Amino acid sequence: MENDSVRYNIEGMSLRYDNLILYKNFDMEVKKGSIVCLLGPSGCGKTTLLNVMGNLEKPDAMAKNDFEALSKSYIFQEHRLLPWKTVYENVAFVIKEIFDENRVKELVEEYLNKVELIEFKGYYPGELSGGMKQRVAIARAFVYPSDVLIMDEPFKGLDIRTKRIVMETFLKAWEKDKRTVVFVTHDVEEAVRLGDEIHILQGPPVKVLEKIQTDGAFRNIRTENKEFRDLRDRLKCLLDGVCEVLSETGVSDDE
Amino acid sequence: MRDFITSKNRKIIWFSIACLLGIWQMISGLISSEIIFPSPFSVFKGIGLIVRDDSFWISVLSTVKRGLLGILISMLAGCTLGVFAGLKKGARVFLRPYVSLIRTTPVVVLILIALIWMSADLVPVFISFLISFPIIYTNTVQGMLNVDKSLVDMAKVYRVSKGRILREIYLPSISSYLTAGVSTAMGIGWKAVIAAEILSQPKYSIGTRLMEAKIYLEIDRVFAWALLAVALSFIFDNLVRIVEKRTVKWKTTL
Repeated sequence: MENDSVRYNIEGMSLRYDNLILYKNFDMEVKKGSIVCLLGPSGCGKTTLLNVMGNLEKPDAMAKNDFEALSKSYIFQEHRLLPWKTVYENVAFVIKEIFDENRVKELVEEYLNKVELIEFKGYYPGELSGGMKQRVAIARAFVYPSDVLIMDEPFKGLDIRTKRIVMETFLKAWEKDKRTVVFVTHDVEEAVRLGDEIHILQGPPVKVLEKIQTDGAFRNIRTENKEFRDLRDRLKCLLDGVCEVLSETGVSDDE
Repeated sequence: MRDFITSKNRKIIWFSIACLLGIWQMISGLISSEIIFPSPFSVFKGIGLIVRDDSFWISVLSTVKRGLLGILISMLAGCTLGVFAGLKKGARVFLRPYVSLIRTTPVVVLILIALIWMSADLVPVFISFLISFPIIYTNTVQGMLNVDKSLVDMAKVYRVSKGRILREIYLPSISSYLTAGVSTAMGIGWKAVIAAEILSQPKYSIGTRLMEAKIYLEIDRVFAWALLAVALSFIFDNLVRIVEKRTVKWKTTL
């Protein structure tokens, strides 16, 4: 990969909520141009990490945060579209201050084409299905010229068929500029399918249990593939172990 | 919850109005004194009379002008302060006693104070302002507090400017609270404006005409003006609703 040498780091991050130590001296490294999946049980503090990257939350201590200076786009668990703006206006909303009117139009239409929603550009979010709304959110995230794309369980709550479509849409949009993606999920299959690198998280306090390098090998592979299934099953097993540890410490599985 | 005006409901409303007119006619028949309780017929004749009066239109328009001016000022003040108070908790707490004071003081007391302070023409404007300000302010604050924080966070992540967050997220979110506030303020506002006019007696106003009719014991005219005041409230309430429907097209998609 061309950007092999550039890495973004988080070093020495500590954060606590009252008596719960969520992070203690936590380090993480993300290779530029790769999709890094943070896989861990719900409620272990993954969203907090993303919030720190996105400057939405301040940690108690932090030695180094490369993400602070980077421009970021976000795909959230919920679509977070403005209900009073059309599909077109929602995507244009984030780049209006960056480009002139013509360029905005060009870009918005390009990405709406990519997520196959160009015919719906005049619709309001209330008129779209859940999967379509999330595709608008994907277009909005990619149209914004960010260094890093942060995704927080973006496929949660979608049915399997819709999830496939939205994931494919995501990959199609990503192929174009291969920007750095930090992707949080508790779903093993999503992580294996999309990731270049999978970090299995355990906590709190959050620690990286294991790091798995896949280099995106499973992006276009069918579910029946043996290697895919082996890795998936191994991760599931690993994650279940993590879940047991969690329940022993009395922290609930839910967020 | 607002009942929808279906054709069935509409029929019931017309039937209800017909009943009212019937009861009215019956009572006036029983009392049989036009000076104390005029029949619907003589009140409608009274409307005909006051409409033909030279000062009719200027009186109605002056009242409308005063009421609207007061509401306009409270929209400006209520909206500005409401947005500010919605953003800053300190400002909200600071303003609370002032708003409570205005809201709880009896209208008549406000009118009496205004009578001492200002000219007859200004009293109704001031009263209209004082009545509608707390309603519009409170609704705006309510709207601000109910703004979806996750949308604001989204905009912040994408580094959208503060001005645009205010204009494109906060304002659309509070618009329905604001129109509800204006609508309520108009309903109560007209009553207060006319009450203020009766006491302050500007040269041209519905209140002044009402007071004259009362002094000359022309009760058919009192009733006629009262009906007009009701019609006025009705018209403006509907205008607000129509404007709302036009401007917030997206609402229909929810």
